[in-house]
Amino acid sequence: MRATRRDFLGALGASAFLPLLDADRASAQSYPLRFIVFGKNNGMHIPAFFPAAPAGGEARLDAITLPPILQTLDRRKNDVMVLGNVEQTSFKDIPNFNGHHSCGHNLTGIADKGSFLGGGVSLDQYIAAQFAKTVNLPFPTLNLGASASGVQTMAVLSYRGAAQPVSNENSATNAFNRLFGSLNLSAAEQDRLRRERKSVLDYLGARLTAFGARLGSEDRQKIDYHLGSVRDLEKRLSATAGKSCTAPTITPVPSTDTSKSLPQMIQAQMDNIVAAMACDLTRVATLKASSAGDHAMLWLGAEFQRAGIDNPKAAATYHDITHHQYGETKDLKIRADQWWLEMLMYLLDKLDAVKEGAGTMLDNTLVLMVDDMGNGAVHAQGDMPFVLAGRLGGRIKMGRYLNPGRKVAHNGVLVAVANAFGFPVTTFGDPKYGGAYPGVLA
Amino acid sequence: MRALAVLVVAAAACSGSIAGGGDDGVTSPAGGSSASPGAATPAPGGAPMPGAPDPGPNAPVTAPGTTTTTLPVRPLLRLTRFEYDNTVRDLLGDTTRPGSALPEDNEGPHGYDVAAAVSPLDATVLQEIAERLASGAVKNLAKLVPCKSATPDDACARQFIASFGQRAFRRPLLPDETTAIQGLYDTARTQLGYDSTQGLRVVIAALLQSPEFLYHWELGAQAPTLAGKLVQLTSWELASRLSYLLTGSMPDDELFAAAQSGALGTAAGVAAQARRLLAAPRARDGMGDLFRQWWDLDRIRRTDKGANVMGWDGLRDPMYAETKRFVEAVVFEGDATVKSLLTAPYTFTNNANLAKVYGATLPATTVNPAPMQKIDLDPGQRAGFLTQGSFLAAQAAPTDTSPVKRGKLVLTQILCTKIPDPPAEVPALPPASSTLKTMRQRSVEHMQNPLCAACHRLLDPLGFAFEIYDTVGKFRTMDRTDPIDASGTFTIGGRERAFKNALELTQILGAAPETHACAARQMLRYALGRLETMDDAPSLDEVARTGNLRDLVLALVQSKAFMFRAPAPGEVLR
Repeated sequence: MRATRRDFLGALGASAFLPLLDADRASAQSYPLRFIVFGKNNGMHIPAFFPAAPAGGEARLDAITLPPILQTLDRRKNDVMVLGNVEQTSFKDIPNFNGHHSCGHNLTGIADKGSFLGGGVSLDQYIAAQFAKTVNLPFPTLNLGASASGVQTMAVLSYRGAAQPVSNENSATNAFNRLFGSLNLSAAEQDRLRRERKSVLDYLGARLTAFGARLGSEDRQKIDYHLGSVRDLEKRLSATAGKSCTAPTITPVPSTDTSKSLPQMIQAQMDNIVAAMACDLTRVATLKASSAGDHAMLWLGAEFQRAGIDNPKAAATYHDITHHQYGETKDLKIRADQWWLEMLMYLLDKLDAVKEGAGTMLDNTLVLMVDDMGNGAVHAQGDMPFVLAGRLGGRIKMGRYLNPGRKVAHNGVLVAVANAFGFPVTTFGDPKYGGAYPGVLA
Repeated sequence: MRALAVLVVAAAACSGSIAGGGDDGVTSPAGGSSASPGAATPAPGGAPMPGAPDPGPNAPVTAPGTTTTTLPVRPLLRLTRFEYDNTVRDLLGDTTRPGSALPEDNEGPHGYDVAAAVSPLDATVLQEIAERLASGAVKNLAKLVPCKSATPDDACARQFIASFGQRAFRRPLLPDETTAIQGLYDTARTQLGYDSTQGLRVVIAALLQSPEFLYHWELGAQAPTLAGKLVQLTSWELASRLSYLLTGSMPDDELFAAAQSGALGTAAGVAAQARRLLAAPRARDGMGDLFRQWWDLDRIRRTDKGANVMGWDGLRDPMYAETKRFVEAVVFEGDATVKSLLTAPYTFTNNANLAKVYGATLPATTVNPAPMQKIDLDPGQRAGFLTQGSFLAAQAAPTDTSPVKRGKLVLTQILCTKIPDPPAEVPALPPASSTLKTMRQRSVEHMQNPLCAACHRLLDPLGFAFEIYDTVGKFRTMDRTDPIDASGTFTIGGRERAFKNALELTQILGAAPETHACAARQMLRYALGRLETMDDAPSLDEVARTGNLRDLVLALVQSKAFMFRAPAPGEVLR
């Protein structure tokens, strides 16, 4: 039996709350904790995703029959947790809500007044800000996309604060160059570039401050956010972690056509995340894949090439397949959703391939998979197919399906994750949506 | 109970929007209350509103300080990707359109592009682009530096900062700005050990990331000039507002000179510059960007109907080029009327397959790319933009028509009636079956559901008019096995109007004052970066008395809404 950090924690009798064992102090003994969010869209085929509600609100995944979509995770069923009856209430409560614009709520759990934007800090940004109190990482968060472009209410998971979306980098090559490009420069050249950028950023900070001072209060908030982003670039220059890393290689994405290459786009960004975390350039990452599913899924085989509803010659998009999933496209929807979980499996396998002490990076990571809808046929915000994966230093007992038998606002998942990292919040986002999803930390 | 609650919300949202002109608390000038698209379209082009001045399109605006008129606050806007690319082209001669690396612009509440808030990624990409542009610029510094010496020295750098800085900030630098930029140059020279050229590279990179360059705010740090409750824009601000409206870019030398000389101090001076810019080739870029967004032309560039769908292959880009050329022909070479845009009996293409869609054959040519040819259309089949592929094929389902999408564009973009997004949990359109053969039959069945009917009774009848065109935009008389019924009625200007099909509908729209008024509103939204409100009614009234787009632009740039702004809450005014 391999000795891992979770054995160490277990020996200490560690329970859910480990405020003293924050990421950095633990790293002397072990490896840093990481948080990754993987966001998809258009929901899952609910009847093929959730198991039957378990007696007592909890079932072991290795003791029940997994429905067809969840079957995809069979090989790692002891590394994952499925959460039933999650409702994205904060979005559902917006009059005339439309599920396609709900991803800004996934990690914030709060509405912005008068828009579909997130109305507060997102979980990834919150956790990164807590980490930043003890460690100065070059990339406090890594916000990536795979064909997640277009309006930010369909593309962006992360918010620095109310109506402050954190844009995604959709190019894996650009992200790679930013993460690892400077490793190819000589020390002298790196130092010169650092000092030059520092002088420009100092100038910009002063200009933005003067510029914002005269503006009206709403406009000043825009400049404050801009200024904060410039400060982030300054901090990156003085970051101390990640310096001893050697640059990995990148697998180029073969085509920019989402209908053909979405898997490679997702995998390239997952490779970036895992490589950046292995170098300790970042400990928090989000990856949003696709915006509204307006792409075919030609890589899934012949039936996806002739899947058109009204004209058999044209391939249907994931969006079309989703809308017709209780009719002609049921089998296609199930297969497509299995593929989404295959992408999750790719990430988990990558994390598990990075050795950390006697264990792997998966032992020190928590992955949260989110979606913008439950039943995408009608854009519903109930039965949100949220999945947790990874061991997070043994802080969460995986391999379970939870279902408390009543709807729980998804804020409860955000609270539970924050708690798992040792941050004792009692609510997250809009406090009216309540506390932790029961049983996650049990 | 759940369904009932949604129904009430949806119905309220649709009728509320129709009565009120928007879901943003925005009041439409006419403020009609009938649940019909016509009533939702205000008619500012009609009789002047009580108390509104009636100066005629070329008369100067009311003298500052003599009126209590207010205006809505204009939000601070950053250069869109389109504007950024054009600006660095005109500032530095860079034609690589580097802004495509920036995160995409969002659609603002007014329906036009708004650059995203500057998140860490935006700041990173702005930094990367600025550094690349600066490195390129110093390779050919002689083009940008005003002094004679072959390589710049410190004295030359000082001149550069003043002259290039003024072009980058679109106004003269204030003393503290000059000091800050000069300080950065000195730091590069002394602390980084750079020569003058490398020092200027750092300066250019910094200027391109400065808020004064990136934001539409040419006032600088000086106190604004108050005119009653409003702020009077400076000549420099007017120059930029005019230039970005008409050319999508920074002012040219002549416009800067007009700002410097005070020639923009009167409405007539502004109009003279607007006339000059409208006659220049670059106005085609500016108007092209307005139409791209107004008519949702980006959609055709993203449209993919799959191989072999009714001859779709290869039509996408020609359809975009067609409408772009058509707009230029009407606005800059033709009579520039809204009526012509909606009813012109001609179009343009250089693509043989697209010509075939319109029943025409192109003359043989050996020129590559083939020149755009004017095509005379069959008046029984085609007339104006709403019968072009960039509307018909783009506003359609991938493999079928979509009365909803087509009706929605007419309603929201041509008639300025706002329709909310569909709520969640609405049922999809029923599939074709033996009893529901045509798209119209399926849509009517869908409308039986009261949840859908609230909005679809407004959308679908307008969309049915276009059922005489298939998903690709080809004219047809049959939908599957049944003859097409494209007739319908709608209310416009308080009157119910009947049409047999799209060709009659476009004639009604082309002649309606409501359509002209909507064009004025769209142009105001694009020009000012916000939705119109009741406070704009006097300005809109001046603007919308004509159905001519060039006159409309000239009236807009002389309007109070364009030449003044309201102070923002919390703004420091002294």
